[in-house]
Amino acid sequence: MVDFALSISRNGTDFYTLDLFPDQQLDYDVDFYDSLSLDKIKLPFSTSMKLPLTTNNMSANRVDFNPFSSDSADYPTDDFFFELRIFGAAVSTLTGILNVSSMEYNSGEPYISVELKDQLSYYLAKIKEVNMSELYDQAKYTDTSLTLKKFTNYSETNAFIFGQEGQIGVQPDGDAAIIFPYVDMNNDLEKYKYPARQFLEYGTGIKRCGLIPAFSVQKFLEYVGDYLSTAGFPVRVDSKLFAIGEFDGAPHDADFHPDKLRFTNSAHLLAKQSVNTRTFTLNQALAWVGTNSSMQHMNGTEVSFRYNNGGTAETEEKWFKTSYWGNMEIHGNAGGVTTTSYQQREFGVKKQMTSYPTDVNQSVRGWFCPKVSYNANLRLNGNPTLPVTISGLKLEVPVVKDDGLVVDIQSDNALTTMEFSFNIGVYEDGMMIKKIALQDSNGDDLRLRPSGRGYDGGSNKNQANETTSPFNYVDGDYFTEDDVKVLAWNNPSLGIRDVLNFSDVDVYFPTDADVFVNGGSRYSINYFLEPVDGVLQARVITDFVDTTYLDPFTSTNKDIRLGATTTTSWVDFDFFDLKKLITRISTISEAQELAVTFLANEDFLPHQEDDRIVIKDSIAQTTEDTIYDALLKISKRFNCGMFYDYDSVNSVNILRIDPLHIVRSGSQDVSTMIDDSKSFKVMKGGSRVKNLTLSNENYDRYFDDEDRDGVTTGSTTQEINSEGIEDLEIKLESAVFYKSLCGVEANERPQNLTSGAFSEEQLGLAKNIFSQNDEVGFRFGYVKAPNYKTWLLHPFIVFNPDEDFSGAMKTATERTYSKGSIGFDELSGNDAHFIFNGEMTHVSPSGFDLRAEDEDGNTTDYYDLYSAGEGLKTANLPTVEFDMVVPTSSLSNLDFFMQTLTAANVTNNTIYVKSARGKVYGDYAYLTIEGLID
Amino acid sequence: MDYKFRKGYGNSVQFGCQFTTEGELDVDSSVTGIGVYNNGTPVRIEWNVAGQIKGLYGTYDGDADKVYYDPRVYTGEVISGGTMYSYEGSDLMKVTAYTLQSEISNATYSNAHIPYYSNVDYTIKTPLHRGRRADIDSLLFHSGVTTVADSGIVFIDVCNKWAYSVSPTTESLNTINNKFARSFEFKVAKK
Repeated sequence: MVDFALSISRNGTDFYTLDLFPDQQLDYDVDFYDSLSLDKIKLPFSTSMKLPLTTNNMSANRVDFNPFSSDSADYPTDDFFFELRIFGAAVSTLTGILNVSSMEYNSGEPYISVELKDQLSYYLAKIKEVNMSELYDQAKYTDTSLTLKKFTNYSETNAFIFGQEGQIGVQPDGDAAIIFPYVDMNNDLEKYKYPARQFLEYGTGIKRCGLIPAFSVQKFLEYVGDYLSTAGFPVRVDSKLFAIGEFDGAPHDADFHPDKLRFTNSAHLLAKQSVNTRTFTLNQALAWVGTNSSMQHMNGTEVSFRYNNGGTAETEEKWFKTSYWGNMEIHGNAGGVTTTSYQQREFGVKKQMTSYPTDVNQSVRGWFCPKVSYNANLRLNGNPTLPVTISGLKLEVPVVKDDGLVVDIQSDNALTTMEFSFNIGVYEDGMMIKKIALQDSNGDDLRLRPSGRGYDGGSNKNQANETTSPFNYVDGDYFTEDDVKVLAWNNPSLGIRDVLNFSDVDVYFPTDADVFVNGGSRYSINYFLEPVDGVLQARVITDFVDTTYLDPFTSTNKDIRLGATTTTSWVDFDFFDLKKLITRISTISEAQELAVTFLANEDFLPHQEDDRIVIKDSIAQTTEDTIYDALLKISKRFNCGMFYDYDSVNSVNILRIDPLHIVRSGSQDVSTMIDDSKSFKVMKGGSRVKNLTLSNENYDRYFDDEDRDGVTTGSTTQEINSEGIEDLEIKLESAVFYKSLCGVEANERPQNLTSGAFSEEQLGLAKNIFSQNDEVGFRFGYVKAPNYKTWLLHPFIVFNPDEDFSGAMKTATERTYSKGSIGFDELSGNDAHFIFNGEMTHVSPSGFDLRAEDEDGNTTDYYDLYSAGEGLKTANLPTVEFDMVVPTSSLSNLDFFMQTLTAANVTNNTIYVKSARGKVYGDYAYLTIEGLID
Repeated sequence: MDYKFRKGYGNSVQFGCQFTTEGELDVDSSVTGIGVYNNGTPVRIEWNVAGQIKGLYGTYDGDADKVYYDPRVYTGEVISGGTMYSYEGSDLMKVTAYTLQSEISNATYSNAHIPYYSNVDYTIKTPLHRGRRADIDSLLFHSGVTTVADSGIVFIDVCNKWAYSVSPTTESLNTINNKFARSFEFKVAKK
């Protein structure tokens, strides 16, 4: 009779029997660790099997794939559940995960190869891609009514139910899955000798926040069990080392204090963008300049457009220069103010200026300097219903090429074919960071054609008012090399038509225009028409004569140069010939339709006392660590294996996480099971490791290697076998919290510090760089009771209205840090004077040091824990190999092999099984055992 | 000829039975469908114990409401019912005699030779048989069998009213002038 039946299931509930070959062999293979790669987590049970490629096995309820006819994309790559029932005197059941590894056919005996793996692989697969925040579904981490003010208060009072403040001298609650202890990020502890301050937001960006969750290792593991549980598949995590599950309250080592053991990573607090959303609006002016080449220098290349004055052309010189609208893009923050103004606003400082420059060098005409950073979605002013209609749009084309004064533009659309895009420019610290093309109703970029031409831009190319005093009728903006004014002609009645008019246009604004707003930068905007295609047909002045005009007020002659008084011929100009273009909208209210609002569209760092905080959401957004990542790091650091077990009393699946030597439980005399007709082999330790190195990850933080000797803090190298020949390095892929997570030493002395405008405290300067949250790595630490109150500091913008910088402050704005209370509902007063719930350190209250080696080079309790692992013992203890017969009933779980085995007939020592491999026959399995004896 | 091969896995019916004597199942006569099988029809009885599919082969006797089987191969196990599949196809090769060989393997460990597993495999051998190649194709090479799920063939011992599911193992056949003469060996299915 066949000894076993194999069933397969997709959902873990409905199982279907698979066909087996006659007299199918069942291999059993358990291996607790890999003696060559001790830092790898191993799944103890695995075996492979071949199944006949029968219609039944290929059917929909089984592997659901027919290699003859199925689409290759349907190959079963997912995990199946399997149930292996071994029929002896009683039925023994093994469960786990089945993967289809191959199908071989077109041969005498077509078959499916499958791998049967430990149930563990199902656990691991289920958490592999899941962000660790998914574990924290408890009310206090998902509550959406938690404000920053509540957060910074002690939680025992009803009013602040989920507050996270600690109590002086009181150890944080070990049962709290997440607490927010003081985590030194900039070496302030060395500067102040106590946690004097912490920053809600430091520097630019939103990756430097001092409100950092510390995750309880115990609770993390407990929650992994909860996460893996489903209605029909309850799971519990048991660990003696961490004192959870079956071992709750009974740790393996009380000094280890698993209740105080925590880890931190890149996670930090964020505030929800839906409440107190960060926003500011930049206002438009009556005119801006997009395309703007410098014409202030007398160098040119356009020989055909050169003033010849009847003499020899000077080939390297332009024939005129102008500072009309300067020589850069012009942008700013205007909005119709009549004088320059500054205002402290909720999220920064606003500077507004008039629409027209009073100084040719004013490229940036107003700005908004946000104090906070956030990711912003850009909207038109107040996010109106689109489209908005823009009337009175004009484009002045004062010059073409380097040297052509435009006097007339062809109004025939068949001849002037030029098309223009209509853009909004966004600038950060004077540099364009975004050019947003306004769109039509189809979402395509607008392509505007002018509706006609208009008279007289603003560049005074012809004679101006002759009757106004001061006498200024020669008010041109163009000069020759010797600073003689140039006019197109001197009769105002002739008019200059250098303006393109546009019809009313409906504009749509793209919804996906995002900008990351850096706190402390200055933002400005403009709008501009930009030629993209076609030709502009125009008449330009190419010839001048010298003459003089009598100034009636001074009775003196003024030199001028006049252009031709006769009509010049039409010339086609390409879009790239247009070098200075002034875009105008006729009224400020029309222009304001294109004002741009920078509206936060993602969560940001908390400042306001009623900012809303959802701890789980914050974690989800600020760490990419998956549950699996964190579980693996915990397991590696504490040399834990993962084992599947089943609690038959409570009908719960168990994920056991512990070092193997702690898992060992019970003793079994196997004298009668050992095959004494085969040899019993005792060997020298397999790996022959001489030196063992435990390596903490170096995340390039200052205290990761304070003495710069290349050895990461807390790492150690110890000789474990003087006879060994190989060195073994175990990379723990995580680090230990030690002193501070700060970056390199901070040597920069800002201009406003040396000038005396601000103090170090005001500028938030520290001994070391404040690390970005995403650079500090994954770290383990203990928390100790807090003893001090800490000021929570906010960024704040100080502006400098002195545009000449004649005072101590040498910049237009400076970002400083304050204790709040500047009048915009920031967290302030007692709320900003916060007792962090504990302080991160590397030693437990009983002195268990998480470093493997202390300052004096001595190994620690942690090292002892790690090196007690059986994997390492194989390096210096004898190993054994022998054959034995084990009842099949003992194979249902790993309990049998977790025992220490004795067999007085072959050894006086205790046997610790490392691996068991062999065939299963009905009631028994004939296995080859490898293990340690000690 | 009292011994013959047959193929053609056909109808099935659920039935209840009583187990009184080794080698005989007393089939519940009221079960619909059974009565239509001719006496001596080879059948496969299939039942399930704790998820394990078990089976035996025998012949059905409608007059006596019994299924007879070889208790040496299909060792006694009390069953109370299951599914009965009939082989109602055409007879294939007939032989005058056969031998049933058993091969016993017993796995032991330790110098005390403690057995932990034993197994018996059965083989049916036919005497020297003469025929033409075409006659034997369907028997040896499953001629007409198009999918791997098609059932194999049964060997019927008409005298004892026993039947066995048999499967040819590796065979080589030399034909001279399209004629051959040799004996055949078949593995006997135990479930």
